[in-house]
Amino acid sequence: MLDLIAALNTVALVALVHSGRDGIPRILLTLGFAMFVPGRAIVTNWPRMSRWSEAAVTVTLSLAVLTLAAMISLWAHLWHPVGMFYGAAALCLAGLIVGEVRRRWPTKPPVESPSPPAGSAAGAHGAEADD
Amino acid sequence: MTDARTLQAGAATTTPDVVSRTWLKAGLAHVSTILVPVSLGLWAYGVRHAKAGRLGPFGLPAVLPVVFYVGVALLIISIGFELAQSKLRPWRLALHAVALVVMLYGTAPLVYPAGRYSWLYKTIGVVQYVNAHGQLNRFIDIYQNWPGFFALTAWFDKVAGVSSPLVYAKWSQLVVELAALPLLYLCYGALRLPERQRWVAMLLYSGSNWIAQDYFSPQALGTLLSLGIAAITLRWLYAGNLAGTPFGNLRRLRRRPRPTESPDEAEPEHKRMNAVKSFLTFWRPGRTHREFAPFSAVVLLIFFVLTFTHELSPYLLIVQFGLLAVLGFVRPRWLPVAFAAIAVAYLVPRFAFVNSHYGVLKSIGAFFSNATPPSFNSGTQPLSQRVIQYSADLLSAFVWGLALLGAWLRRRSGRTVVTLLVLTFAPFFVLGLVAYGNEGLLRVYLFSLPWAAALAAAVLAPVPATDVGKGPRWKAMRRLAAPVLGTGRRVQALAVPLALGIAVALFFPAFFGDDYFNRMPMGQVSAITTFLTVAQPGPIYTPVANSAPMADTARYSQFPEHDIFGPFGVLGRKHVTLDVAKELAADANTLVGAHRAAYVLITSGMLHYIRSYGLAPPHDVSTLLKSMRRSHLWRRVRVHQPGVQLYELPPIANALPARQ
Repeated sequence: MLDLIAALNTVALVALVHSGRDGIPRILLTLGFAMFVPGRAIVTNWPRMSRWSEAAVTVTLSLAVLTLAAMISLWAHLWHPVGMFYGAAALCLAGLIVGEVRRRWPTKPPVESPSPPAGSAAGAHGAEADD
Repeated sequence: MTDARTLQAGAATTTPDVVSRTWLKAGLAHVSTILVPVSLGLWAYGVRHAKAGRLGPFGLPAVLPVVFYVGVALLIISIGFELAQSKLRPWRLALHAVALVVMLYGTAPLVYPAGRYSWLYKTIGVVQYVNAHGQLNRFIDIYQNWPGFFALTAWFDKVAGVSSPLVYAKWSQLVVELAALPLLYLCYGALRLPERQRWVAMLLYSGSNWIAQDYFSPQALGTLLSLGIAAITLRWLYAGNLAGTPFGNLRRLRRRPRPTESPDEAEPEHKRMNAVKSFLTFWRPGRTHREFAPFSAVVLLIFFVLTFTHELSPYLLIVQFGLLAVLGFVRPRWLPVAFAAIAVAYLVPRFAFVNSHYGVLKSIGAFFSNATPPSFNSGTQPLSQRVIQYSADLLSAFVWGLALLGAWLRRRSGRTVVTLLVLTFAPFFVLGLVAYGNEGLLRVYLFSLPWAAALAAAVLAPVPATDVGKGPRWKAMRRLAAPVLGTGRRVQALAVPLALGIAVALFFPAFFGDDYFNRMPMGQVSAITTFLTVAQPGPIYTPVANSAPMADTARYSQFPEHDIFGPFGVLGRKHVTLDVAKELAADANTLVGAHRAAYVLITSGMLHYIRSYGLAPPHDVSTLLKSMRRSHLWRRVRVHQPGVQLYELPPIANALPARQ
């Protein structure tokens, strides 16, 4: 579901940027992309991280990845924000699709992650899905 | 016996008293269903009818209608009801947390058409510079030396199709505080705080973050990155309480029963076996470090981004996690060393610039001078400013006081309480190194707050009676505590809203009190922005620094700002006479020569600021205004905006004072 939302956000934003339409929807979609999509594309391919946090950690990861990409393009004197966005969108969509494919058609049985020991408090090292 | 109890219970349920009690319980469970929409409605009505045009020395709180406060109070009462439920309902609590953040941080952007704080406009200028030039100039200012935030927002503007961050910057505080909520929840979950305490801590954090570092700025992004680093580190790289982990279970397994321990308190056999199984499943030699290496790598990557985003945040994290590593709570222990290496490697080539502008070397070791808050530098303050300042101080003391009390109550929770204490109070060490423009204490509060709120939550939402110490030594204590803590939820139903109410009551003057001069009228913003877009480059003299929406264009570096009054002002401590206009013209001539323009900008916000902080006697201000009006050297620029006086010293006239 979150992957689908991320993919739809990306596709809609690409369409708006490509068509050159400005306005509040474009600003909100950009905010959604900047705070969610790249992180989601990473988390969806990282089962342990994903089991711990489906959505929250994606905020930090998204902001970090995009800030790093923007800085690299500034340092390299290759400042093309819209071009960078298209590249990031393509990578994110690829990541989201790969994550979905891996989940639907796993190539090998999932590695058993450490489960919470019986009788232990919730949230121990084995506990998952905090958000 | 069991049958008899069941029969008695069955009989009891038929009495009208129990039926009404059941109905009451069901009704109380749905109080929030009514209270939340009502409170939001009242708040929205209050925002709509706020008299923002009549702001006085007490800022926004004085012009908000009573219904606004009734709305906020109802939400806090609803939070109390929700936290008093025997089984917490996360979606409802999340709704309450979001509603509280919207009420506290969404009010200003709805009431004011333009973003608050003059310094916000400087960050907008840097973003505009990045987009206009596509590169940085490290010699302009400190922002261009730590440009991560500006690169991200410049990229954002192009993708969002906006010409300037002015369009959306005022919403930054709301977005940042909303984004912080899930990250806080992760952090508290990683520390294995009880569910109720996590929610209380999150609510308290939102209700007491008065220092407003969440505006459109590098430190706002730094806060989100720092919380993410903390969450991942505490979850995956933290050797916290071993209880509950396979390692902890193994340790428990090895523990010999105490001689006084009764058989029913000893570890049951099947639990011991489960502990062995879980340990054998989990632990294989050499596996742990390899498994957690990706998390270390991600944390280092985010830290690297943080390093070039904000100049102070990395060092606060280094101190916090460095101390935890020294105590052996963070693994691998080299992680803070790697943090420090990244931060220092980035700082070294920029150190000369930073030191020459901010005197870093001078402030090392000057703890007490570094810890002095900014307001202490000004002269006599009026009552309004003292009330605002006391509110902020009281709120900080309230949160830190509750944190210390919470630490005492949680003193038996081992590493968790030590970790929280370290994270809460370690940022104070940074005050021994830097003054940070007398804002060091504010940043300490910002970095301390998430963890102080977590400790405070232990006071407001204590653990159930069953957790009051274990073993025979605590048997008597448990028996004593049971009647009190048995009604724990009822106590919490009062304690949480009361504490949150106190925090929010102090938050309003502390956060909105300075809006008398922090609010930027849209007309002034537009007028000054338009002027700076077309004017010839030159210095701008202002009565005081940082009190007008200046520097929000890509040309911001061409208009350096100079104060007229104040400790660093052009006039110094000189007596102000009617020749002040001539003196300013002479200063401009010395500064930029005869062939460049210079400006004097006076706004209503600046005059409010001077009055509020007592930076100059009223007579001096009126003399300046009179002198500027009468001056033949300065030409009044027509701005068509009430509250703005702009004077230009044309390049030719600029040469006159020196000749005279």
